[in-house]
Amino acid sequence: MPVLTKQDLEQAELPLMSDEALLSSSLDGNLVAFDLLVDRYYDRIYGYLYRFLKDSDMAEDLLQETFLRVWKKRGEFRNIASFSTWIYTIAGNLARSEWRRRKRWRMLRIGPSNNDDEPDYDLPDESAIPDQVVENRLAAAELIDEVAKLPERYRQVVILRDIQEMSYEEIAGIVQIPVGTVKSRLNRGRLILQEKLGKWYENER
Amino acid sequence: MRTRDEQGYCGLVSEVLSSYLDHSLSASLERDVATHLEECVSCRHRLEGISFLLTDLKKLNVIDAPQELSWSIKRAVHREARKEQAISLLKPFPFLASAAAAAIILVMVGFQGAAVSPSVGETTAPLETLSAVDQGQLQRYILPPQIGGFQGAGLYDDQVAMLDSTRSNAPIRLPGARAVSF
Ligand SMILES: [Zn+2]
Repeated sequence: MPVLTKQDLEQAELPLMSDEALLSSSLDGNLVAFDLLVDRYYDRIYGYLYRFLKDSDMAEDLLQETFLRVWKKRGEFRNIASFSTWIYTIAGNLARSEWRRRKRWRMLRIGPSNNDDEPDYDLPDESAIPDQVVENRLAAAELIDEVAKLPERYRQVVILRDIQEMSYEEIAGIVQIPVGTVKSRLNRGRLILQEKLGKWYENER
Repeated sequence: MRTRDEQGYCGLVSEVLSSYLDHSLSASLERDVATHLEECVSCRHRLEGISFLLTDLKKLNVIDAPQELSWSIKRAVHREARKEQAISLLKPFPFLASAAAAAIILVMVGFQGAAVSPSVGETTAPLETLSAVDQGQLQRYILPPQIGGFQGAGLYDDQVAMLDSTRSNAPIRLPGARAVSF
C-alpha cells in the first residue's frame, strides 16, 4: 500500500493556498505551485493585455513575458502588495512600453496620419470574442474599438475597473497613482466612451 | 446647491457622475447630484448612458484565452527553472559554467523535438565532447527529479509533448523574438 509522504501532502494542499503562499512555495523551485499561479491568472492577464493592445499575438507574447518576469523576480516580491497587484503591475508596464514603442514606430514611419493616439493595428482579431458576449455585435465591436482608442492613462483604469471589476484601491496599487486620480481618470474615460457610443444607448432608453 | 450657470453646473456634475454611479461620493455631494438629476434631463441621459456603458464593459470581461497558452507559459517557465538550477549547481565550477550554459540550451533544443529544429543533430554534438563532465551527472543537474518527477508536472509535460507533436515546426515564441531558434 503506498504511503503518502510529507511532500505528497504538501502538493495536495497547494490548490487551497493563497497566491502569495504559492509564490513563496515556488521560491524553493516548486514548479507545481507556480503552475497553479499560471492557471489562476493567465486568462485574466491575457484579457487585460488583449483589451489594452487589441492584438492577440502581442497579448500572447507579453503574457508569457509577464510570467517569466514573475518567475525571475519571485524572490523580490514583498507582501506589501498582493500578488494580484504585483502581476498586474508587471503586465501593465509591459503593455505600456509596447504601446509606446508602437506609437514611436508609427510616428517614425513615412506617410500622413490623422489620429495621434491610435497605433496601426492588424485587423481586429474578433475570434477572441465569443459571439454571445455582447448581444449587439456591432455595438460590441465599436465598444472594443473605442476602449482601445482611449488615451493610455484612461484606458488602463477603465479596463481594470469596468472590465476586470477591480477596486479603486487595487487599481491605485497597480497603476501607482492616488485613489483620487483613479477616480478622475475613470470618470474622464467613461465620459469619452459615453459620448462616442451614445448613439447605441439612445435606442435602449 | 444650484448656480445660475446651469450649463456650467451640468459640466461639474458630469465630472462626478461615474463616481456617483460607483457610490464613492461624499454623502452631501451625492445628495446634491441626486437633486440635480431629478431636475435635469440631459444629466440624467448622460448618467443612463454611462450606466449602459458599464453593463456592456462588464460583458467584455469574458475572453476565452486559449488553454494551450497556459501550457506554453508553463513550458517556458520550466525551461527557465532548469536553466537557473543548472547554473546555480555549477557555480562552484566556474570553468564549466559557460560550457554548461551552452549545453543546457542545446539539451533544451533537443527536448523540443527534432521537428522544431532541423539542426538538432549538429547542435547536440558539442555536448558529447564535454568529457570533463560526467554526462549522466550533467543530465541530473539539468533535469532534477523534483522537477521532472511531480505527477502534475509529468502530466503537463505529456500534454505539451502531444501538443508539440501535433504542431510540428511551431517554434516557441519568446517576447522580443518572434521565432526563436538557438
Ligand atoms: Zn444637468
